[in-house]
Amino acid sequence: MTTVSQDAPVTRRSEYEYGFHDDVAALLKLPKGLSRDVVHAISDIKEEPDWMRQLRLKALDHFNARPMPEWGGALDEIDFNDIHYYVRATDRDESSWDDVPEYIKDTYDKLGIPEAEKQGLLAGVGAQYDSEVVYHNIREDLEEKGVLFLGTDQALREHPELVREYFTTVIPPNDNKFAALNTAVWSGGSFIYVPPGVTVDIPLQAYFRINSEDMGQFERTLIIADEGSQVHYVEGCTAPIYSSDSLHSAVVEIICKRGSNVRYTTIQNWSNNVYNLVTKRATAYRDAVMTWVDGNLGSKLTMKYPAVYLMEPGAHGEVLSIASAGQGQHQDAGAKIVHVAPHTTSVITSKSLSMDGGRSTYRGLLKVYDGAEGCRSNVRCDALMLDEHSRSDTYPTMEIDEKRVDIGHEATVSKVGDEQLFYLMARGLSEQEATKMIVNGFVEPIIKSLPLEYAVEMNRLIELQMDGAIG
Amino acid sequence: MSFETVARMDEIEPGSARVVEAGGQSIALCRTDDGALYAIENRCTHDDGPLGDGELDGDRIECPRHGALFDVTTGRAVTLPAIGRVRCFTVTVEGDDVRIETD
Amino acid sequence: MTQATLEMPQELEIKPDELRAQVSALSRATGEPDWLLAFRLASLEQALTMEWWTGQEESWRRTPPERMPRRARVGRVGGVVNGAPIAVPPHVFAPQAHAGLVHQIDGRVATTDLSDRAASEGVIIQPLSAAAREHPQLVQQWLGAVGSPLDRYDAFGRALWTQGVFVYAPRGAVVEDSLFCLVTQNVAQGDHWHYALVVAEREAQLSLIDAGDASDRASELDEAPLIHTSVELLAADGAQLRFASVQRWHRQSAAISTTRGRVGRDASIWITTAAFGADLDKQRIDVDLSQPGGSAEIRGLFVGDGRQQIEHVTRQHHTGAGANSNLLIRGVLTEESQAVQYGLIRIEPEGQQTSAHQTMRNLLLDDGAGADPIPMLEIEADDVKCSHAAAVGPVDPDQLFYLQARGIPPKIAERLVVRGFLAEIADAVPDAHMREVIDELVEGQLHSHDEQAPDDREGHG
Repeated sequence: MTTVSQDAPVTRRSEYEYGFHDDVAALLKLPKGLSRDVVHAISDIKEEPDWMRQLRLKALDHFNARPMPEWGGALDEIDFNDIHYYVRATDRDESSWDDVPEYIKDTYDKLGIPEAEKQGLLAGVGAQYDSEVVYHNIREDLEEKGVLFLGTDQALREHPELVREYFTTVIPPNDNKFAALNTAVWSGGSFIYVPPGVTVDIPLQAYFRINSEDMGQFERTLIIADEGSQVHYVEGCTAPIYSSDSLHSAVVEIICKRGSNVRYTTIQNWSNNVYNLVTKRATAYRDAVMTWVDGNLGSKLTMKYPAVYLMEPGAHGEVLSIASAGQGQHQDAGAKIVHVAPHTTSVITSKSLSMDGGRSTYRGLLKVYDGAEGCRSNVRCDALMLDEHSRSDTYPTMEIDEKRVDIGHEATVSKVGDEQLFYLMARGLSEQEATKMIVNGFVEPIIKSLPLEYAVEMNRLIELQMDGAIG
Repeated sequence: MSFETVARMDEIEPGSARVVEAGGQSIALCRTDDGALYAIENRCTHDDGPLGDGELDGDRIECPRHGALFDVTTGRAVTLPAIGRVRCFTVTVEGDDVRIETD
Repeated sequence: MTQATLEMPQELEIKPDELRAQVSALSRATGEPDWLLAFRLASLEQALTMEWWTGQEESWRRTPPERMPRRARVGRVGGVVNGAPIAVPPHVFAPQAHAGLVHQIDGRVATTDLSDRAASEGVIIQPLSAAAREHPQLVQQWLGAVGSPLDRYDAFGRALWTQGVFVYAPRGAVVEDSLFCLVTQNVAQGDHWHYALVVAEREAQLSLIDAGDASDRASELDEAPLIHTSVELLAADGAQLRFASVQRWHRQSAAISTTRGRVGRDASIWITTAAFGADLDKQRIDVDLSQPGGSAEIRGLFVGDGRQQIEHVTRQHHTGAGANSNLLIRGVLTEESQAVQYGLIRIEPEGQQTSAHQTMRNLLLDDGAGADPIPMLEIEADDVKCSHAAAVGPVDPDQLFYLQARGIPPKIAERLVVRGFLAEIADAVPDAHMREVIDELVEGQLHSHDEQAPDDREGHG
């Protein structure tokens, strides 16, 4: 156990089973394990209002009461007592370069990431090069427009009423076991508020934020796009992120008010020891557009199904997702769209790759409530199998309680076509090059919706994964 | 239209809820901290969860299944995953009897 | 359907000793050989070790528990009621031409027939008890050959059946007309357990229609019956087996069926089902394809009305390489009827060079109707072509417009589109007369939809 004294004020005096007392508020890292004391300690460290403390405690009870999900991936190896539930992010880079698995170092080398930046990546993207300067400029611009872009902890301190108004309204603490866990121990994440009519021209990225404490295993993100506003948020990083703690469980809540347009892009490349169990959900009101772009490359097991509730007529929800599962990986990802109101539309496009014994699963829900007439939805899932050891599953669910709708779902699973290979090889490409080219074409519809720098790296990462599998 | 006695006043503590039957329907009878009584349909609009078994906090009751909150005074769903209202019933107190009006 | 709702007892206590005694009595009453009784009793013991569904299982999550009883009791065999001999009502699916048939009413054999032509080919269609006596070696060879029971209902089905049938086509036999297995649900109270064992030997060609009907007198029942049907279809190498199942059970019945197929090398199996009756109809169809050149074509048709719920739980299980399968379900839902379809394509690592597809289409004609199609793929081999597609929506407005533009009134235009929509499934039923009957039943079910107040269906696109 590491305890470091700081000058931060002590906000709560009580007995802790671990025997640490007054210096609780100064801790950089809580001991492993989950208990009411740990939750109290987190709340103390953050000097939170009492309602948040109570919410956390209640969520902990829900977490303890709920059984582990029996569907999806294998979760039985998660040891909840072997996890640090609070680590101040500045403390994260204590994980030394020597601890980093060889394959991640290799990937860094192949991506051509400079040595100094590699260290930075370990500390989380908060330590991105020159981010302070970049962020400073962006911040001034945003402030002028009245946009709030803060760490969620900071937002809770500076705008408690705004946070309280929306927090857990999209994903209540007892929504599912991992949402309950996150609500109990959340730390970090982004808080964004975009005022009416404001368009944020550049994608907001987590690493623009100056405060590196906002990077965490249990981050909590809340985005409120007020009427007619527009914003694109990008989280994650294409380079693999190594974490010694094996559980990442985030919650993201988004509210798209009338006429707003929100795009949320995630590139997930956790190291292969991480369970990535994330709840993401958005509400879209009249004529609003919500788009999730979701890329899953890393982790041991990912279970993530970004959702959009279409609350009022004219709302549009879209999920574009790409998953690639290699050796020892299970990507159980998908999408949920709920047509609550009439004349709402949605599109789900999913592309998955399975290789080297990996398993990709598309799991989705498309629900149309009775009375939501005139809804249109189109779901398209394609899976590509790169070898005979891998596995691909598709589990879409449709619940349609309204007749005046147009709902279509299509899915395919196939391997790289012999004819295509033959055609390309006849033009002088090696089989490996030809396969890569076909895979590039397969994922193209999703990749092209990514910001350019991500698109380029995404393609390179998939190629690297394929080198491991077919090389 | 009929009234049915479903409980005695002293059977339901302020800040609590319970499930009762009236008019052949299952109803969540809620008593808020200020002592006021509300009766709503005992069925979450998300997944049919029994609201009366949930925790009442202020004038909001939490569905025990997936945590959706309902405003017991209006029947409105305050959070996802529920959408849409639950039915509200008129509650009257006669002497010590709590009565619910159903159709 | 303005009938008083019948009682549907749930989760009756299972008394093993009582069941064992009843099964033994049943077997003795029809003079079954000892080995058949042994098979029943072994299946019973297997069933007793299994559990009922809980509702947590994915394929049961949408089944209203109060509408599908978890119970197993021996059905009473009808024959004489209140001292009067049993009436034999006309069966709605009675064939015009057939190669052979067995008609059973409330568990009692009413008619058996076999054409000279079929007899000369060595074809057998007999009540299972009789076949066990007359063709013991054959029946013994194939009994249970499809594999272990799928679940508790299926296991009880092998033990408790009162209406069994054995259908057999020897090597190379070709029967052009269809064979019929007719069942009438008449006046007997209690549950019904059907069991059909169908075998097409190498290079044989066989088509069987299994048709269930409820007589008008079924309305005298005072308790909603459970009707379970186990069908085992075995197509040896090169065989072609066509099987169609149609039912118009009493509207308050809970119907559950388990149809399983095994497909040999270069063999083909066609399974077509049409559902009209029952309050809840849950059809499980499970086909195992382990041999190269094997093929399975599964088609389902239904028209729901009232509060009917129609469920399909299907599995196209590719356990070997080089086989093909295809599933096509088309349903029309009126009033407050609901449909659920769980369709799984499962390709084991050995299932290379497989092509497997499934399509589910649900037409919703009324506001209260709903459909939950759930097509699933589990693929562990790479050299495959698999796909699924599902769609839910109203009658295609373009087609309606096209017909109306030619002067066809909206109602008739809709009817034409709906019938065209279902025709692709109905056409797979291997008997022309049966196709006509199905068409009439479709009309009948749609009738209730027409009687509703005219809606503004045309106004939406």
